Amino acid sequence: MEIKSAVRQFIAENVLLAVHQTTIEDATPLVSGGLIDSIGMIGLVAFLEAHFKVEFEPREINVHNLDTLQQIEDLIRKKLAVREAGAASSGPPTR
Amino acid sequence: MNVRIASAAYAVPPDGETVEAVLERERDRVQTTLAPLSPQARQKAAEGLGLTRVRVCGGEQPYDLVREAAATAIAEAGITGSDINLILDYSTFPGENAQYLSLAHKLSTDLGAETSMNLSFKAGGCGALHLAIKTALGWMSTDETIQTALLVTGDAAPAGNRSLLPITVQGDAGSAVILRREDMRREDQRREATQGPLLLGVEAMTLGHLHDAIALIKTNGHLEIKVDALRIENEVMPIYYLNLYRLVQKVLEASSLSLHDVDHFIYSNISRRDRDGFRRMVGLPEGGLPLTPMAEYGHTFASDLVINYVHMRREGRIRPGQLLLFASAGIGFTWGVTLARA
Repeated sequence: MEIKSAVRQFIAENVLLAVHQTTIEDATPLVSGGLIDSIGMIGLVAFLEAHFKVEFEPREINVHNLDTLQQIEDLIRKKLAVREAGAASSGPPTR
Repeated sequence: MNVRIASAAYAVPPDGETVEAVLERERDRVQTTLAPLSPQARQKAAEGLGLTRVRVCGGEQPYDLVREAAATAIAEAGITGSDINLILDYSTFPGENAQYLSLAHKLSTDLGAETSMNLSFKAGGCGALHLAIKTALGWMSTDETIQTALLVTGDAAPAGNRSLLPITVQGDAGSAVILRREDMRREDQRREATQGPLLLGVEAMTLGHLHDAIALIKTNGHLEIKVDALRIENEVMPIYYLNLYRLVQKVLEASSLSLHDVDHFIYSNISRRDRDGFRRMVGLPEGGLPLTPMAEYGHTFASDLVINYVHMRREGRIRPGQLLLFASAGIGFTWGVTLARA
């Protein structure tokens, strides 16, 4: 799953209007750099939760976890891995 | 169980001080607080406050303001002190020299509410009104003898701690809200019940890991408010409106309503830029939030919502049937939203 490109496209089209997505690098500071403000976070988190079918705990949403595309991808991958591990462990018992 | 906001009132001290004078006097504290921020963020901290003056307790104590507000609210609700069954004090800063363990107990005596249940809690800061309403509704729903509840808060900034930059500047105030349960068995109360907005829902949330983003500490025996500006910027602001937005959606959905149904948003007076953020959050155009007396009073913690509600009523802006959404967030960290139908 290409996470960064999906997030990059969303941000360019919905949050940073008129900013071409190629100008958003993997390490571009989105929140601490002032590119996404507190209101922009509402849309970003809603997109991440809906697109990747994950849920964020309130304390996970901070500048340490969601400031760059790389951090966002890392967090999403971690949550997907936990979800897949949970699904595997709750699967039908094998003989 | 139907419960209405029967009345609301506030009181502020007559003495005032300019925000400019406050920031000059507390310059060292402000600079220390803002030091960890970037130069750009430091500059932004004092811009867009929209606060000109604050009211300051001189000879009065927050209790005096609470008592005045409570007396006004009781008169406006057309009841007497003996009708009050529950008094809930949710003050955050009831005064460094407050003589009373709980303002509620003293108030019950002074108002003649001798048989009232008296409670006090300190949580939520500007978000505490919602906690108080939810607590009162809990008591009312489990004890049918509680028909009328008086919710009060009285707050005065600790000496030398009036500036809460990069967030706001604090003014002193006291306020009171009276909630009344409708009793459809009594004809006279049925008539009275048509007065005051009907509570439709209350939602609140707290995040304990942010308890020290704004901390209350004792230094040399004096209370001090310590603002961790970096944590506010990095941990609180990314979720500040997000959590508020989620609570707004939750309380509206519970009543099968949406943002478009809300006639009046009643929000805190933290700063002009914060109110602008809330306005954008709920999708209102510029100028879409009503004017408030914030420039004159500053931010008065949980009394902000009461002050703004009272002003809207005085101006005749609230008409029967309109939907009111009260929202605020405060130290703790705490978020709260209350929905009512006028």
